[in-house]
Amino acid sequence: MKRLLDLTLGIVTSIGGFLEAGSIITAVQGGAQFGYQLLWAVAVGTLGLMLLVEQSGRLAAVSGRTVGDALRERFGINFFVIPLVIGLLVSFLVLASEIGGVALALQMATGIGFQWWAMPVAFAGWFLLWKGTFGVVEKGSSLLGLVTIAFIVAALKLHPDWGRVGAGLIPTLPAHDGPRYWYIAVSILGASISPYLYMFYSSGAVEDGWGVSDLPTNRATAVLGMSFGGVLSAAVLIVAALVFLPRGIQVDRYEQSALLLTPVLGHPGFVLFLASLGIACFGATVEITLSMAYLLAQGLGWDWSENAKPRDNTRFSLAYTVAILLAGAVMAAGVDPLRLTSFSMMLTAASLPVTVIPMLVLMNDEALVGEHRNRWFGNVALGALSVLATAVLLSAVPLQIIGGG
Amino acid sequence: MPTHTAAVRQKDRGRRTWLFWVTVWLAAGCGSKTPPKQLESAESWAATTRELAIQRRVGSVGRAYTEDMLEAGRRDVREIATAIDLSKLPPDARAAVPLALARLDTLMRQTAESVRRGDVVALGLDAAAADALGDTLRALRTKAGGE
Amino acid sequence: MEFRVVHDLLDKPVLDDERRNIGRVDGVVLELRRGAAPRVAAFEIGGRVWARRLGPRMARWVEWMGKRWPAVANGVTRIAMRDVRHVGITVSVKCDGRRLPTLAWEQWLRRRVIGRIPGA
Repeated sequence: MKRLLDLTLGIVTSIGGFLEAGSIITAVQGGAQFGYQLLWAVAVGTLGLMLLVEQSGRLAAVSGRTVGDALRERFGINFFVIPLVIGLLVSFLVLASEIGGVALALQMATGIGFQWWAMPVAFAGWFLLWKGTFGVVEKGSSLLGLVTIAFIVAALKLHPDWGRVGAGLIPTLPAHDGPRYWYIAVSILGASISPYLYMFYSSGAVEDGWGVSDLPTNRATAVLGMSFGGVLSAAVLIVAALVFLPRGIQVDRYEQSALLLTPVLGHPGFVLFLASLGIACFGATVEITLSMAYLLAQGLGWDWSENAKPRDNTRFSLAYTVAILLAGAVMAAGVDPLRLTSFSMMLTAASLPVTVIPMLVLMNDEALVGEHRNRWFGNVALGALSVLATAVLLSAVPLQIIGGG
Repeated sequence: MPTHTAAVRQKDRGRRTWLFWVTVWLAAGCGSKTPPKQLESAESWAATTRELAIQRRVGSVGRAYTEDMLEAGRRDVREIATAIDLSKLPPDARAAVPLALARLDTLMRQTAESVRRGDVVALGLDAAAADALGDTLRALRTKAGGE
Repeated sequence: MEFRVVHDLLDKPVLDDERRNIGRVDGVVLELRRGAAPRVAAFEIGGRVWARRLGPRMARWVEWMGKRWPAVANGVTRIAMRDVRHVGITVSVKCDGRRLPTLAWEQWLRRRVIGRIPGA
């Protein structure tokens, strides 16, 4: 019975935590400009994330090592600095854009500019980390994140042609605006397969004391949780395709996306969009901050635990404090949230090889995962993902130049 | 010693190339816009204005939000008007485009005033005007080479 | 005790006899013996130690930081192999971690910074 409860909670947290600034805006832009055509990118991103989450959870449950631990221990400091520096840099930019997302939601609700909200939001996130435990952080933001189900409701109310929706799951070439199409496709991948998500997940598994007996739960959480999350992203895209595309509304400014739910759900739609954006981004803010601190602390051998009090892990607490307040300062300085979000999604996508390819080694290491190492399917899938990640890295610079904006 | 210096120089060159590409990438964060894309953006703002007017009429969106949105849109439209390269347009469009953009700017200001006054009737007219202006911009965009 | 230096010892977490985490094995100290194979005499924990492994530039930079802010820079902890109890997934040592320099920064932060903020 307890296992069923854990499982349900695990799936629920995965759904609630899925959407954030990047996935919302990329899905909206994708739907507004290309209709259902980019659904395949959402699907591929979701599958990729599912794979990485299941594997990182398995790694943590079987070996008791998080991804951060394993990267340092298996590859040594010389290699570890690469994912460390790149991971921290990219995560920092994503973190700033998430804080921007919350600040924007508050701006649209109150009329007070987002720069003024940036530091209060950062402080609120810091306070939650300071006083809260891992369970509170994870479950709290995710349960609240269920407000994003409004997108699914809106999508259903719009009665899409499900045949055409299904056709969007098959990759097709765009009829117009090729560079822009691929730019958004890659950004969707970066938004879905956020490294912070599966690194955070493995730390959570260790914080919760997962063992080999939790492997079925891990698999179910990864598959079902991420699937539902993917459905959420798809719903955002579908609504944008049905609301923005026919009206010819492109999202050049973040705030235009708030019009997404109003034609379908009226005034509640406006409120729900702002709530979804604010809550989803706030949850992401806290999780990314934690995952940055986890990576640093685990890699360098500091004590780390969100469950413990800050005084017991001072270097860890200092790390997340500095990270979140600095990111808040970036948004308070008035950086354009949309530009930053788009750019950081692209950067995330380009940096995927650094985190995905090592997993191929880790998940086949007998010393680490023993008999639970990857079967042929896991390796083939992970290998395909690595190839995709490398292709994305190589195309990132040209895409940013000709497709970005 | 000589091999060490050679290796260091090789590393420095590699580092410089890497730095160059990173700078290119960061600088490219802006992206360049062609007239059809700029007109598409303007068209989108006309559509947004229409939607804002419709939604504000029924009270679906907040007043502060609508005014802020229109203000931000006007900034973008004015930026397009100054940045657009008229020489890249066909001759018969070169007069029409700045005119259409100016009309859009005026319409957005008008709509913001209707919102401020809470004038439901005016908002309806603004929405219709935005619709028409969107069509105009689309026609101009097709002339300029967009789809 | 037999183990492989890079695979089993280097970069592994170190625990004291209270199973307290005191850091990672950041570097090893080899004893060069004439007529015999080199032997691991001790291992070291500290920022300077792993920085050195990254390359000469990085090492010089860390040394400069250490001279500039000696209070903040990590003290290097050296633990002799005879004080090592076990080398496995973690490395356990027979001493009290609280008296080692590695945790000095952690404790300093507790006293001066983190501990001063309410709710810690």
